[in-house]
Amino acid sequence: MEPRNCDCHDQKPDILPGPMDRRDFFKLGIGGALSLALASRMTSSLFADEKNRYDKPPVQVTPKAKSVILLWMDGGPSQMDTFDPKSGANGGTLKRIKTKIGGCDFTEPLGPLADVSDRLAVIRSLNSKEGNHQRARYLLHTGYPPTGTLKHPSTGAIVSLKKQNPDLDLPHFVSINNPSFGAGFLGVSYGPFVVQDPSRPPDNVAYAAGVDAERFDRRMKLLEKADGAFAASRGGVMTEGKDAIYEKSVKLMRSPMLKAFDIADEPDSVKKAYGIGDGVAALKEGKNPQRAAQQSDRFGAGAIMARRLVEVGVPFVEVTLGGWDTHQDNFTRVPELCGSLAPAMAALIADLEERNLLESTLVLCMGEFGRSPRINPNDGRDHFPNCFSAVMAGGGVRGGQVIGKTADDGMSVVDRPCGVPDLIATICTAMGIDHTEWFQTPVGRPIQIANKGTVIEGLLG
Amino acid sequence: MKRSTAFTLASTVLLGTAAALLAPRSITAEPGKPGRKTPAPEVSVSEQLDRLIEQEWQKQNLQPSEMSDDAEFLRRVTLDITGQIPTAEAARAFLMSNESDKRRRKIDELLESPLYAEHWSFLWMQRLLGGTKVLQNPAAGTTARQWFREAFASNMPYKQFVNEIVGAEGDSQSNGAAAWVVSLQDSEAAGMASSATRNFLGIQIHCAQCHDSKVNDWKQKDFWGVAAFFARTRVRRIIDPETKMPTGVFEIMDLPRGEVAIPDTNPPQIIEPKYLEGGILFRPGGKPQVKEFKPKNNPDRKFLAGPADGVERRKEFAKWLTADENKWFAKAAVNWYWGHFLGAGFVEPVEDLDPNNPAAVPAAFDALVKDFRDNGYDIKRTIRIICNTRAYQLSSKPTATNAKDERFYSHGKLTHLTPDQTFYSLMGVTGIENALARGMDRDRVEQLKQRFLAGFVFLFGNDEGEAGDAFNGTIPQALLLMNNVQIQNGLKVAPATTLGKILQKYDSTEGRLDEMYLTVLGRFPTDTEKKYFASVIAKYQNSKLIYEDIYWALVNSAEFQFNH
Repeated sequence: MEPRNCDCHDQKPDILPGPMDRRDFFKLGIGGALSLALASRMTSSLFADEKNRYDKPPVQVTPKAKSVILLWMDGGPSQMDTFDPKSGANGGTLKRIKTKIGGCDFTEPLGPLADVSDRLAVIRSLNSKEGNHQRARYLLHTGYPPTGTLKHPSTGAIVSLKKQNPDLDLPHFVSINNPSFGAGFLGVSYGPFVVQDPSRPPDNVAYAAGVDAERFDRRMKLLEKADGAFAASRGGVMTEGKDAIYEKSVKLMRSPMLKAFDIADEPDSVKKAYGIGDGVAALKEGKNPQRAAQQSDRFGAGAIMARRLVEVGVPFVEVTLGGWDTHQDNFTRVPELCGSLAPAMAALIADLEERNLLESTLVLCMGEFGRSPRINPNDGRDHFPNCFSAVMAGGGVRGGQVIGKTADDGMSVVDRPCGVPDLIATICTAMGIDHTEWFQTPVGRPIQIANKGTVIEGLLG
Repeated sequence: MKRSTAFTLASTVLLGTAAALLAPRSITAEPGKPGRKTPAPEVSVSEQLDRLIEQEWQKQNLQPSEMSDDAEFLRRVTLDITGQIPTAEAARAFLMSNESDKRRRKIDELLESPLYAEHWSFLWMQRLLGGTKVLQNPAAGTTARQWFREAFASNMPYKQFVNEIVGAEGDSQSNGAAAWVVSLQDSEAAGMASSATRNFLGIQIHCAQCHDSKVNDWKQKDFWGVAAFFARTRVRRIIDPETKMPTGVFEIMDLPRGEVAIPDTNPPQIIEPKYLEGGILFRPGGKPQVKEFKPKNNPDRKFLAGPADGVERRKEFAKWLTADENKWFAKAAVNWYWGHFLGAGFVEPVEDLDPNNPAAVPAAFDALVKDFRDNGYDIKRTIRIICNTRAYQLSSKPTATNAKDERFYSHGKLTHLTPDQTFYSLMGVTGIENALARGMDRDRVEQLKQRFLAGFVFLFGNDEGEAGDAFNGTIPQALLLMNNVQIQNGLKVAPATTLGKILQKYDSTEGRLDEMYLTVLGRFPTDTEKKYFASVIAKYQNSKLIYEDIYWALVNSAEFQFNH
């Protein structure tokens, strides 16, 4: 399959309505519930007779996932020192260990994940053309390379739009430790609610000092009066949208679900299982142990928060672990990072399974690209988009398998190449979202959610 | 291009009609009549635009809104020109003034205020530099901000402004105009071609990057023909010779050779530089012999080099781009400015001057473009003309027939404040040091603002540092205004806060309410509002807390959060 490098549709369907005014999208953004009907102007059935668009008929899958947890490995993790180890000159110094998947080794620092590998599907054949961090982050989050004007919605935003749930008081897309990517032309309502520090509840959700529930009620009543004349004379989508947002915000402030954001009452044993507090010990040798330890703790805390959010029904949570851009000292830094990733991810999978949530929660671990098989003079590895790995679990994913294969020297994909759009098509399908649906952009250019990706075969069901 | 020719013809015809309609009217303007001064040429342009727009209202059966009242006008024009709401003092003075031409004077006054340059340099940097890679470096960021600020303070002709940006030389520390090229280093020739055509020509040719466009007439060769002008431009990191570390400063280099090719063609299909309306810049003898180079660290990237030909391609492009004859250049700027002030461009989306997107009131568009071109691309003049139109000064209160009109300017706009506008407005409302007014070092204020906006923009989910129309009431925004510690402290009654000072200065409930309304909403409270809030204040025995609650309600009101 050709890696896709094009941000455009390759055919403009004649049946599309005329260009949509940008303002219509504002309305969508505010209107919330309206959006489903309006934003998605097309269904795939209109293209049923279109030939050669897809190599194979769409995979028939019963969607099982209700939520996605994306563990985002920022900086580009080294596939050869994690999920796709190699021998030989490019292999590096990390020891290989067996997993429960036949013929699939991990490196030793991923021990805790090897133990749950029967739940994992390892994709070793991802590839793209984007070797620049920001461009590649954009691609992996949206399925599209960045373009000048059009801002594509991230997968989290699409899930947020498609899984609107009136019973859920919380934002539908939460990003922890990282701003992630926004909703682009879908409108900011579907963008991420950002948690900058998962060790404490998010900012501004508690009453200000000196304000209690009673005083807050009084303020809201005064606000109603202050808004009255203006709303009456200017009534319409904009002011109603403002009221709706305030209503949602107050609902959030007062929701019992808000507790999902507070990991303080998790038992110490759980925190320990996710690797919180281990950081300092594991990272003694590191360059900046304090910062790394904090990062490790925040990743563990983020993973716990993600599980709590999924428990109350948040459909998309992203948790970031940064620091994978190992141009130097790759072979000391990667084990440290694995020391943060592996226990937290393994604990998360076990935790979800124990709560009967693994079947309905797709856990996905990936970064923006891989790292070069060639080891540079600084004992590091450089950017390498030609092949990299992603790992999935739960959400209807068939565990205990490897998809795709890279050459012995790690330089190329030799079997079942997967493009980034394929990965996004697969996530959507697992969630029961039609990835072939067309969206109308503000300049009238129709695009598909997953940039013409096709579901990765054999992964689901 | 068949369609664009048809378009040109059509607009010429329309322009002709408009001129014919206008001619007798301008004669009957009776310049000599007592009590009426000869209208300044700018005023006559504003009047001309209004007549054309009024004709359109009639055609569309739209009953325009009434004129804005003084408070509505003042708040809108102050936000649009300076990026923040008027102070209570300015609002009171303006509302009390009986001068008949106070609106015109206010527009002039605001354009001469240092806040104009502050605000518009910010808007343009945001538009052209997007993410803040250049601005993050302290030295280069300061240079760029200074250059943009100076450009607007001195009212640099727009043509020169664009020429200096697109043709920039040197490095990001010594030349602020270099920031645009530097900021596009990662996307290279294609990125510069897209940004230049979109921002300065208002056309969406980047659609044709990968294949001939299906939405408009652009061919892939058109896009790469523009990209070829940037094929030789490179950006180099400057390394500190002592520490061997990158300084964060970047230098623009134009190599003597370098070509672009259509992606995924083998052998590479080289495209020569070509202006969009035809005309190949140069044609070296025969096909250039082009070799591929692959950088070591990034085997995926290819550079192509042919023979050197002595042409400074990027500079040639800048000349063509900004030429009077360029049919998009002045239009794109005027459309963007009109859109900023009126809430919708003549052509919408504002950066899509495609023949498929006909202008609303094309004769008015053409008249304003002609004025801009004929008067040396004078930005302030264009803003004065726009702000003095009746269309701009209409109330945002709709009538029975025009509530749904978003195309013909029959009512004032209703838009969210941008993060930048919110920041500055809150500074005054809370009394958090209004450092600008106190003459504090500008770069320090800039840092303060960047820090504040970083939190803000991050919160609002604008990861690309874009704001503007993307800023659109979100939950984090509402939470911030309702509960944020710093803002809440600023809304308290305390010696240093604005509210504390209001209570100190005014003894009567009425005087206090007046000043609170003037500070937050730029108007006096209505009788109903005054009566209601006075009764609440009495009920709570004049307590500090109830003033805080009312002040909080004003800040959280739609009226504060919208530009209306």
